[in-house]
Amino acid sequence: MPYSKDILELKRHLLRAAESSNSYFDLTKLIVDVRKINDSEIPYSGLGARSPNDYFPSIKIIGSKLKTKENDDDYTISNNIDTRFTLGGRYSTNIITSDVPFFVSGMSYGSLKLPAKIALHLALNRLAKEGIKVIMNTGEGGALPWELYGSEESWSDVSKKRHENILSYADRLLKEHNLESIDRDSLFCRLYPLITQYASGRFWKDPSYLLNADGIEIKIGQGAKIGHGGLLPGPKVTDLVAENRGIPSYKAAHSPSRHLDILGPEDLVAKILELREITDWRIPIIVKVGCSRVYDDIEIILKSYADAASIDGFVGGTGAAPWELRDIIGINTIPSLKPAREAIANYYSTDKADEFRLIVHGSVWDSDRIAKCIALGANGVGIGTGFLLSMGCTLVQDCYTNVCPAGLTGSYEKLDIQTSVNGIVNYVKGTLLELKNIAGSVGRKSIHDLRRKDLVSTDELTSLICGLPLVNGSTFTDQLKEMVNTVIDKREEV
Amino acid sequence: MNDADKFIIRKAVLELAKTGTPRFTSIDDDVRNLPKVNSKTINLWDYVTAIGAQLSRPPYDPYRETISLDISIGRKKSRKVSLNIPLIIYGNIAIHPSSLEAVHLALNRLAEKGNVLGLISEIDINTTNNNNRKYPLFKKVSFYKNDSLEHYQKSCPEGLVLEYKDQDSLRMLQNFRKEFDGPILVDVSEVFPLYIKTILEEGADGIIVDTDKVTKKESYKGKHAIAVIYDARNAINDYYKGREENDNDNNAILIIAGDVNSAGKIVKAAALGANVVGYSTSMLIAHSNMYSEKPSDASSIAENVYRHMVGTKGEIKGIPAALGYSDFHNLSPSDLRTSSIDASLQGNIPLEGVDRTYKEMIEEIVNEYVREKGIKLNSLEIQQILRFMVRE
Repeated sequence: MPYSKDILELKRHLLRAAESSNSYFDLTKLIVDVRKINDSEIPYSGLGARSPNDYFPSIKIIGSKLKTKENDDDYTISNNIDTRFTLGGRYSTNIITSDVPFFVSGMSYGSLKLPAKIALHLALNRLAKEGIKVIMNTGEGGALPWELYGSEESWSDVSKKRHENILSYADRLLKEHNLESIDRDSLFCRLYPLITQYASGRFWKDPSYLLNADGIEIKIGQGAKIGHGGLLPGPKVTDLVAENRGIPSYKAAHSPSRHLDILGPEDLVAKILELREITDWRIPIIVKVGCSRVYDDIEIILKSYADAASIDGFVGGTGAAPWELRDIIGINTIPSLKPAREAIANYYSTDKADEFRLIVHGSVWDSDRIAKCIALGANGVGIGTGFLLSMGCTLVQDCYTNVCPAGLTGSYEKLDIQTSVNGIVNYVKGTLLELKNIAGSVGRKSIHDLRRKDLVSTDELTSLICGLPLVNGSTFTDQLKEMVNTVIDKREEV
Repeated sequence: MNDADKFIIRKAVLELAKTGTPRFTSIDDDVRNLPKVNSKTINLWDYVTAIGAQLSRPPYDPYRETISLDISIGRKKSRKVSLNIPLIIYGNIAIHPSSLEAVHLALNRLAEKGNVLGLISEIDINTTNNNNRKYPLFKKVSFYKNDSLEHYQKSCPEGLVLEYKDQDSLRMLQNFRKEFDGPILVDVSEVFPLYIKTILEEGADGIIVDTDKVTKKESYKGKHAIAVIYDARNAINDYYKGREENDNDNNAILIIAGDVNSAGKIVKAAALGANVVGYSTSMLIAHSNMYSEKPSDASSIAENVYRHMVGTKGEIKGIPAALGYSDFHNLSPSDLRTSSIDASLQGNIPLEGVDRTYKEMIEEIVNEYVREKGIKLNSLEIQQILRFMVRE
């Protein structure tokens, strides 16, 4: 945020006072204090929290040895590696298929400016044309017209008047952002699977939001603001954003911190059955929670007619969250995977556990991290910040303002759509190739064949929490047992 | 996200976005394997987080529902002092009387709006409006200057704060207790963790511990504020163990001062056992005016302190709500998790993902192995193994 001179001066004085006092002050957060002094509001921040230990660097993938190769095929030839990800089929009749095990996490229109949303749409279309389907999640702020009406059949039940209204809204959107030159035919074409988010704010007013989607995600919470509803600061609620969400313009949109009709496990079952009825049991339904009491939450989701659970770790990103709340609540993604898998294993007494999908989000942005998550039990991975970076994000973390140096979450005129599209396409293709290389190097035919045994940890805490062997091959538990033996030996010597 | 984190993420993604081909190295490894940061600079607060409410426990909504921060100070026999925000302005910052006046004006304004919080002050507030004080004042007693209660009662304080240094302090506490019916808080930072039981037996209404002072002591060398809060809470709980007077509404309170200067730390300290936080940031804000080229008047500085406190109140209401509590004081150690063995050992905080403390996990593994192998270890040997493993 480009702070005013007054704010910077206040910060300078506060810094000098803090340095001259003998007490310890967290100087990195003085700006939070200064912002409170300035406007008495709760300071917000964008993107994810900082985790001093997110465990990923302490986990290593070990390469293939002769004995782990399943046959004579050379899996390092990328074309032979299966990276597909499917979602649904547990209760839904439809199954969504993606060619990559990662997808675009929920980033809504409003949080992201229109050109960034269009760049994502066009990039995923281009990838789909090249044979790489990537799933996109709309985020909780409603979907854009071309996302919902991107196919011939989606228009079939639409009245003429409604048709005109939709096109008129699309025209106004494009006009406001000086994007009238975009070809409407190529825009109103969606070739990738779309998941719409059903959050506590219910920011949508068109049933097609559910009916035209390929999947629905019920968002209970997200990693960046667990226990806090979605949040779009007032300056970002422009007239067109407000129209899309069905809310007043330029007033902060604070979603309730919980769904008013989902207060417990039974309510979740009722809600999912309601959505199943509406969508004729066609569409896969995911339930997303922030990582906290992971075992208990997954246990509830497993019993609720959902097809998949999505967990979002401490570092998970956001467009806006109260700064302190973001930095204090939640647990990291890696430690959440074990209790999540345990809950699934305890629920299924047979091999059918595979029908339930586990998706993870938070602090995952490249192939190395995706592969580690999959080896630890995730079926798919949601990525937000990685896609933003590929579009030019500079990680200034001012996504809650209307000013963004990259033109993604503000200052939209700065974004060059074509460059962003190229960035996204390259990012997906490069990550896909790397994933294939990793799976091949470990001797696996499919990325989903990566297992816990393909990993080692470099520190005792990660070994203890993830149940992984240390680099020397023994687990931390083994080392403890050795210690017990040493004590006994010493006793016998005496 | 700090600069190192941003560097890692950018390096990880930008090359891919530019070329679309696999990278040659993982930057994670290069950066993370840089020499470890000196352990003294590691702030264990950063490794402690709270677990939020989701499906298994619904959260409250701080924008639409009432979240209580109220607390009253004073045991059964004392006159109670109530606060609407669990903070008392207190710190080791030697501030100018004019800065103190600004704090006074801000606290008055906050109290007018129903946000009552306390002030601990040794010096008298230099203001004509002192008679109109609308917030509770805790007068800090300077034993070496004057030990007569009458002297300290001139400013009509609601409570007293006594710094415990030696047996003379105990005598003073006994004397004051006989005559003063308001809450007496005792700052035990200099003698911590000793004498807490004795002080409570003599009728102190609260114990103040300054984590900055304690962690500078030889006996707490290398330890963090979370260890101090944990020990202080245990000492108070030990005093109440088995006592009939054990009643949450009337028990002595724990006030933690020092390294607790943000909403996140206030919540973590409360979860570890603090009832009230001695908050120094307001004093720092008032004091920072002295560094301005054009110092403002007391009223303008008071406005700064006021606005800051309103924002802080919003933050400390929002966090318990997100954890599923409608009352700030329902926070407990079970709401915390850590990603550090040190933090787990120092504050007995469960590790994330496994929901048990490091010590509990070690005990479990050792006991199971001993049972499984039919090995007979005496308790001394088991303790020896545990001590080794938990680095005591």
